[in-house]
Amino acid sequence: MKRIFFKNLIIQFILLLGFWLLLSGHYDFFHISMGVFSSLLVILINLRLKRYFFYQEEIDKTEARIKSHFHVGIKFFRLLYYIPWLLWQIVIASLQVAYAVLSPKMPIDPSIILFKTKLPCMTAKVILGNSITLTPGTITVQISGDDFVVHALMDVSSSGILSGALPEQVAKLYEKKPGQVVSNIKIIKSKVNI
Amino acid sequence: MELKEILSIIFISSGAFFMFVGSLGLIRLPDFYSRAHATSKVDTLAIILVILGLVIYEGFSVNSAKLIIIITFVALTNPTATNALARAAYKFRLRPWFKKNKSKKRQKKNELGN
Repeated sequence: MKRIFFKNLIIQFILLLGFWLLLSGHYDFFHISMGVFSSLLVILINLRLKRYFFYQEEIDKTEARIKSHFHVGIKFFRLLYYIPWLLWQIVIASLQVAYAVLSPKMPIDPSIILFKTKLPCMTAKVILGNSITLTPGTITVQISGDDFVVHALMDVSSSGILSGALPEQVAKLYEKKPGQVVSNIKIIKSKVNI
Repeated sequence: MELKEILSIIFISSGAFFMFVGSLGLIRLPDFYSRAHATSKVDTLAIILVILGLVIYEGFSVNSAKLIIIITFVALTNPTATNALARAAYKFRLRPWFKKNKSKKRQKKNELGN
């Protein structure tokens, strides 16, 4: 655990320094030393935050899974495919939402969708949640454990989740053949049971 | 005009269009959750489009690298903030608006008529 902690600190320092160098544009000794100083300061301020583990159980679970499955790292090659795919989905869904907002009848039909996922780790869930929220027409309302609560604006916009296309793409970032990712789908369209 | 300028004009004006749609949706849509759809997400695409237009106009330089970093941060923080808002509303047990069932309404009307 301690080794991972120090490794993370060094990675954070390199990232911050790279960010500083990109933003400053002056590459003399004075400016670079200012950059080193300020990245160290940021790390010092964030140190207490880093020591506190917000989801210790999840980390333990992930470590156990890494031991059993040998490798659950994210595949960067797959990411090169995933990001343009997601951008294209965003464009399509944005046009749908724009149509719904602009047409005088406003053909919206909101629903709340509950479903269970089978994703390997916490990061995958965060990626899925943010992707769902980035796609217009759907918001991730809550993630607790493996259960997702999603608010969808129209039937068209939630079809990507209901067919399992989006979660499957996220699962493919980690595994080659993910199998059934989404299960226990429930769609709520009335005020009775929330 | 060069091709570069035409492309950047197309990108920036489509971004402005989506920004307009987002603001209109904020007024027109019925409840908190669906308004969050309009403002946060259509706007994300709008900002991405505008900045892409600026990157094309700027060409390959340090400034366009900075602009691409801005795109990354917007794409990361915008859904997170939306999620925080929606989650707070959900925890507060704010109930979403649903489409009213038209068949039920008709039944009621018929009952009243009888």
